Amino acid sequence: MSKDQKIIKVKVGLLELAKQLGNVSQACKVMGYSRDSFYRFNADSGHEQALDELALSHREAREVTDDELGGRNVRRLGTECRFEGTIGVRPLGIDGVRRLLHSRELFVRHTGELADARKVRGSRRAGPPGRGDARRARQEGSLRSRPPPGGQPEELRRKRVGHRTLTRTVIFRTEGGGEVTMTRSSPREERFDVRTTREQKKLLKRAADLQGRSLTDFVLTSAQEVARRTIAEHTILELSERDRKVFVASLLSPPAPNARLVRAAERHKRLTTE
Amino acid sequence: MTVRRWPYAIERLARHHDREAFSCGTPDLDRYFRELVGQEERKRVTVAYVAVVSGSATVAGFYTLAARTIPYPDLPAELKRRLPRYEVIPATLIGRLAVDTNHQGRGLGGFLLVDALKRSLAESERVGSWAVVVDAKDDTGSSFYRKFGFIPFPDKPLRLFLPMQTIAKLPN
Repeated sequence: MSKDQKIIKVKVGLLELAKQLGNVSQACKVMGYSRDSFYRFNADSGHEQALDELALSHREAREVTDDELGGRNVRRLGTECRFEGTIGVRPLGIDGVRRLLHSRELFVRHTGELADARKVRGSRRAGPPGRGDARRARQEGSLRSRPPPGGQPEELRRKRVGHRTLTRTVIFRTEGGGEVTMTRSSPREERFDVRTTREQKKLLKRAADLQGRSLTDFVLTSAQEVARRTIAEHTILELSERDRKVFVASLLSPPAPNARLVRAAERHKRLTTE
Repeated sequence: MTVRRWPYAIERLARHHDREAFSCGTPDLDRYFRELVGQEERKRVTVAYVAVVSGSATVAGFYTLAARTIPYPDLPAELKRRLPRYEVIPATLIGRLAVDTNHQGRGLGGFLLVDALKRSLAESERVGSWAVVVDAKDDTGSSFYRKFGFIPFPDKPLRLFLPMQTIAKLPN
């Protein structure tokens, strides 16, 4: 049996089992896969179903603030439905999930680009508390201010993320205490070296330590943040509420060009056709 | 009556244009035109047009155009229908517009502005743009645009705009 066949066999096995049991979570547990993987394997047979699984129900708008999420990384979320479970987002993409939620009118607000976030990972290390534990606890505490139903998200979170993988996590919080976590990971294949003075490195290291993060992680995420903002500022014109009102009002009923502009246009025409 | 011939022609910025000699009296703008505009052109984030004295490499003025989007999460239904991706409104930005001190006072600024507007309008038929937005450097700049009917944003008075449909009503 070739390597590929082996892999396929496992996938099919998982899908089959799920069908037989009529229970995805259980099939995953038995086969030792996360639900994330299940929905990835299941990519062809439609993710509509995956979402239906979430027992989506009642909705209620609520914004999750940065503070609630431990004040970092997960920047913004708009959310408003009550459901439970975890969406493996890989096959659909975050946008895909968003579209689906949207089509079910479960998702009204989304305030912008999704922020990169480190997954809350490897929870509860055994052994004495070390650096970073406090932060992790805080982060988890806030994520977990209400117990998640079912216990599935827990499983996803506990999955360890390799050093070479950057995971993007978006958590949709819900009224009834449910949350939907969407993650997307991509391999870290590129690298670059940085030369620094001793002072610079010390400074960065110190800041990283304070947050209980590795130097690399700290530098990368901070730089990324700034990079994203720079790019966004460059091509996006952010307007205030009031600005947008004026803007759209004028678009809806565009004023006639004023006399001076008309004169200038006539002159321009004369001068360029001469 | 003496009619002096209008000596300027608009061209896409090119290598042979004498950028070094350009001076409009605002150091920032001069520096931008001398040093940065070429980079931005190469990176394709901006397109620059210059008014040259016909038949020479002398630059009398210039403007730049770039595409921008304006996030608009709660767009009125009437506009929403017209937009394929209704979370943003596409717009054209006149990034910079300046006239060399030796060529000021002849209406070249207004000429460049109209040229920029007409060009934006023509482009908007291909790439889509609902308004022309400008970022004025200071009050003098902003009053220049205001005179031509640009509408300032209330919370950002140095940024002004003109709906594309207003521009479309201009005589061409």
